[in-house]
Amino acid sequence: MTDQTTTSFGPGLRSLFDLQGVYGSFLVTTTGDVVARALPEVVDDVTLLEVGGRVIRLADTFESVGISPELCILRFADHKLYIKNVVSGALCILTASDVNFPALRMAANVVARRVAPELARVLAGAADIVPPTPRGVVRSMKSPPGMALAPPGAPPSAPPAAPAGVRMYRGRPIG
Amino acid sequence: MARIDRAMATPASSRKSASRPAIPLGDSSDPSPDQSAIVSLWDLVQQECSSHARRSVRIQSDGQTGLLFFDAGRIVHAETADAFGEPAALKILAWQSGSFDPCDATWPRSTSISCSVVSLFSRAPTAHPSNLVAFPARPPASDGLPSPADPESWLYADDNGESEVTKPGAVMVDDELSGTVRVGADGTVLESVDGELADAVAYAGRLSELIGELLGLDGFRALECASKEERVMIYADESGGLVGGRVPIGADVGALRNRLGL
Repeated sequence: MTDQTTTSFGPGLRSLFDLQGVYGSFLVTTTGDVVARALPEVVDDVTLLEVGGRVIRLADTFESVGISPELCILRFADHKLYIKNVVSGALCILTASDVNFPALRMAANVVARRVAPELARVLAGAADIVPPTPRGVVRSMKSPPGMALAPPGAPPSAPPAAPAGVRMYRGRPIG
Repeated sequence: MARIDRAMATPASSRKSASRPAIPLGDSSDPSPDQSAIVSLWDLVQQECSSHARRSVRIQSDGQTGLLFFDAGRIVHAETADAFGEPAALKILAWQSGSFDPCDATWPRSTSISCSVVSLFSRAPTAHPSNLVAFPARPPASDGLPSPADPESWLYADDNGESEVTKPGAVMVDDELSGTVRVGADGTVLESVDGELADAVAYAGRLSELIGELLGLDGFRALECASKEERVMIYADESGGLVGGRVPIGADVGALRNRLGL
């Protein structure tokens, strides 16, 4: 996964912060890998990876009973997790419970349309390069506005730079 | 044909501690032949629904005649001289006196009522407990199913006629959910007409809880899953279990969410 690829998801995910009540979002491929995130740092990558796998299994669960989910909404006491399924994965948006739902739905549709082709390319590329394991999380997003996640001006988190001569995949040396 | 006196009976829902017969109230031009045989319309309809029999019933009241068609534990069709479907059912359920007898009416080509009987009762003009009418009791159903004490409990009676603990909010949800599945907090399937869906509800509910825990989201309340064809709704009940079912296209999902407090 390259920075260029992850950056391509950035504008889409960031645009979701235009909506009041959106706390963050992340993109999951059908293999459960999290390819981009715009979430508070309090949710670490390992945790998000576990979430990603379960998001995909959730969709698989409904598939097994003949339902092809386009949308799943998990409602919690004070939050919602809006999961918009696309061909190659899912766009997950964490919101407050009182988020403007019609606006969120429209925004999610717009972002999903924008990121779906790239997500498919990422998935295809990953399959060409390495096996789907080990899975990883690509961190490419800035902290959402209004959330004390990182010092102002702090650079967005990114996979560690690869030492010379070492091939990196999702922040980990391979080969 | 059993006669019905104009009488008022405390609905089953409000007389859990009271034993039958219901006490008839008000004037009656025709004295009640047997007070012990008086039951409310709730009870009669419950008996029919609990039997899950496919049967038509003729109700006559003050020169009016109506037909209720029962199938698989529901009223699926109703007719009066000037109404059809739900309006007819609501009209019949509002009648204050009459007779209630099985008949061999021609079965409708298609059903006209999809909501639950509880929903019909709740919308009928006589829905208020003090207005529920009394009807003469019929002999116990041939299938031996007990008549539940709680008018809501029969909705979730299992094959043995034994009722589950019923949550007040869950009953109304039945209006929109089809193939309702109930899974206990320990994973036990309490009610299911669709084994696969029950498994899916249990697993999806658990996944949702885990996703919430991982993201720091407390209090899983519900999951909605929508496809082009249908929607599945799963919600956590007060006992920590899960209730789920398919929501038909066109159902009032907003009302359903409101009832669940979502």
